[in-house]
Amino acid sequence: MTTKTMGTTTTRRLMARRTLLKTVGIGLGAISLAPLLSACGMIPGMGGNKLTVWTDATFAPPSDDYQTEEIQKWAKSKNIEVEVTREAGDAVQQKLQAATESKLLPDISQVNDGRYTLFFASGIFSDVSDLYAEFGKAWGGYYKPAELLATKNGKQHMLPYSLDSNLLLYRKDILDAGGIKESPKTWDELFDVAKKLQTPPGVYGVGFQFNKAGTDAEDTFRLMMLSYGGKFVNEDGKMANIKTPEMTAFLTRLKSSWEMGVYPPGVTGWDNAGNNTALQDEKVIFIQNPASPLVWFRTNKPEMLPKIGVAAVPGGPKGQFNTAYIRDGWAIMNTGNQQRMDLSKDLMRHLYSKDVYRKWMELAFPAPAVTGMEDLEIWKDPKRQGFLQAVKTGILSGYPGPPTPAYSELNTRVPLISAAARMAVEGWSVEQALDELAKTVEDVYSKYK
Amino acid sequence: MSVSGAVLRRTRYNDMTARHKEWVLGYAMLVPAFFFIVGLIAYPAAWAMYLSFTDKVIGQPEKFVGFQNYVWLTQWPNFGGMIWNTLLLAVVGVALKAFVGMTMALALNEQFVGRTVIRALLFLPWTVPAFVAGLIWRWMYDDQNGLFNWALMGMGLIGEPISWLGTTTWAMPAVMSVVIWKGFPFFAIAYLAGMQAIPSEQYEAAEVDGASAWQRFLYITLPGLRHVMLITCMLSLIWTANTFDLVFIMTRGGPSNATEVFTMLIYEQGIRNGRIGEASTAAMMAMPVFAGLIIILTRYLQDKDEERA
Repeated sequence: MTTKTMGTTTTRRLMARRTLLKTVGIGLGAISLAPLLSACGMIPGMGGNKLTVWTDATFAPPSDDYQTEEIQKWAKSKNIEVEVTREAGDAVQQKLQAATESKLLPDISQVNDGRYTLFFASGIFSDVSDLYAEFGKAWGGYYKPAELLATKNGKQHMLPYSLDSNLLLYRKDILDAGGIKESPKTWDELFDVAKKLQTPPGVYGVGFQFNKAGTDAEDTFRLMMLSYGGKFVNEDGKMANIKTPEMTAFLTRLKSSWEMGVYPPGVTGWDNAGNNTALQDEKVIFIQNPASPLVWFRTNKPEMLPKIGVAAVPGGPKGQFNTAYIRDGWAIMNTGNQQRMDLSKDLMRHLYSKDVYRKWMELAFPAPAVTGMEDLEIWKDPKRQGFLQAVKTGILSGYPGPPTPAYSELNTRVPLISAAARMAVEGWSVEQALDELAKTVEDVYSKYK
Repeated sequence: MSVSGAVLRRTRYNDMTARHKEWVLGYAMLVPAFFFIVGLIAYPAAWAMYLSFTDKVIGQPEKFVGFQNYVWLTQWPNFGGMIWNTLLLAVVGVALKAFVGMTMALALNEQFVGRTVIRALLFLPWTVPAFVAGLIWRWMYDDQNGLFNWALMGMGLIGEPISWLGTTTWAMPAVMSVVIWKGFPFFAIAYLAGMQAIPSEQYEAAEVDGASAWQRFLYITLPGLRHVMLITCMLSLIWTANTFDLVFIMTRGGPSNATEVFTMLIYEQGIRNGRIGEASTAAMMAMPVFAGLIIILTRYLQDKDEERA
């Protein structure tokens, strides 16, 4: 009797345990299947009918907002859902790293030319040569830098949307008051004028970042290096001899500019917003930057706009260079889902449509990638016109060689800012900085042999 | 066939002794924990270790390269500086967190009006997300528009802004101050709980014997808290040595390499450059130290359990 009762009790408990185990089993099974289901588009997030678009936040928020609105408007017209994420800094690149490995790609990602070159070999971008040709035809063709940067092996896996360049932005009113009629044409002139006209601690001469958190100055220092005859690569894209007299001359000039005391002391801790903020707050005379501060002044301090000048980047003993790069580009990702890839193409057609593209261009700060927008009102402003002209003739990533993944990786290591910071912050000699610079370039290029 | 098989299995199970059934159930209950440990801890750790011996780049297949990445890491331009910075942040940061936490716990262990509110507020820095804390403090330390420079210049204490995050003199103390601000509540709460477990009779007896407040702290409070102190310090040492978010947001390892810690290198190589093999190597280099700390901590806790038993 007792045994039977116990037996009955045990049986009841076993049923409960079985139920528990079944529940646990189903739960674990579901967890392990989740990535698979997601990949198959059976759960929302990266699948189903919802399109995922990863975009960058820019220094012109109205243009970002307008673009997001247009994407949502298009989604509504198609009766589908689109998730647009807009993030600052490297966030999109970081997410792409993880997405590439997990194969859980968004449908569309914004790419600049560095990101495009870095990820190209992984095959995550789909061939959009057809759209590239279609948009090119509709807009009267692309500017040469856009064409060169977007085309790899004769095909396009990205759609260039905007081109940009970094020019010298300066306080024209201060130069005028100091009797300087023209913007400096050489680096020597720039530092001399800055030294002469600055009134620290209120206003310093030059606002270039000497900190790895700010990548704008990598471009500045690269142009300075080239103007002194220094280079990282040869024309064939292979690593050049770094320890040259030209490179020594460039680093010597950079170090001496620091010793002149023309930089605000905080530049060693600035990020990419540091130079913008310094000009906008009227605390420096010269910065090198895209046109984003002009857009900021237009909205926030219009009375300052006439006091701001824009000029080409100064030159050195071996010439003068401007840069051109794709700031905004679109890539339709190789998700393998043809239906969503077709939808993505349709969204691209909307963003490249006449009204949407032109309106976005008016709100944004770069120049377009296509030639058919030179009639826009914004280019009548000589300052903005300067940027438009610069992108047409600027040198590309990897110059004097072609854009390569090695160069893109080198660029993300900001080797010139690192060298500048070593000399400025740690008091390194030019020889020490040059030695480390050579090792960094060698370290990166040795992996791509 | 399958029905008779199921019946057979059920009969076999019913024939088991109660002890056997408990044994089977015990193992069945371990299955979720086993999957959890293998899937979320052991597998990623083993995979990371494997990757550290490869040239894995995001989006491309890896190739075994032996100890090449380890050699590469030791030749990293700031390898020594990185170790020094990590140790400095961890050791000094934890010591100061423990000191501030102890001071706060001693104050909050006393009776005064509003004690409960202040105890609740004490948690605030602990609950603020590191990302938000980093941004707020970065703004306060900002050389152009920061609160500290504004206040100091307003009071006439400095003539020109101090570059808190841009000089080697100030950058590490600035980062460390935020690490301490964010971490001391953990110590304070743990110590406060520990203090309340010390029998009040001990303090009363000491007072009768004429012990001063300092002596009571030295000979009753500190010995009574030694277990809590050891555990909090060890845990915090591991957490602080792994600090990334605050350093990333405030300085990104700069100025130059003044605040570069191991986690920054892992981020730069793994996330910015996509070089997962090298990033895994940097992570693996620090693992023996952390593993040693964890083993000591686990053994200590096991010994404590045995003492109690």
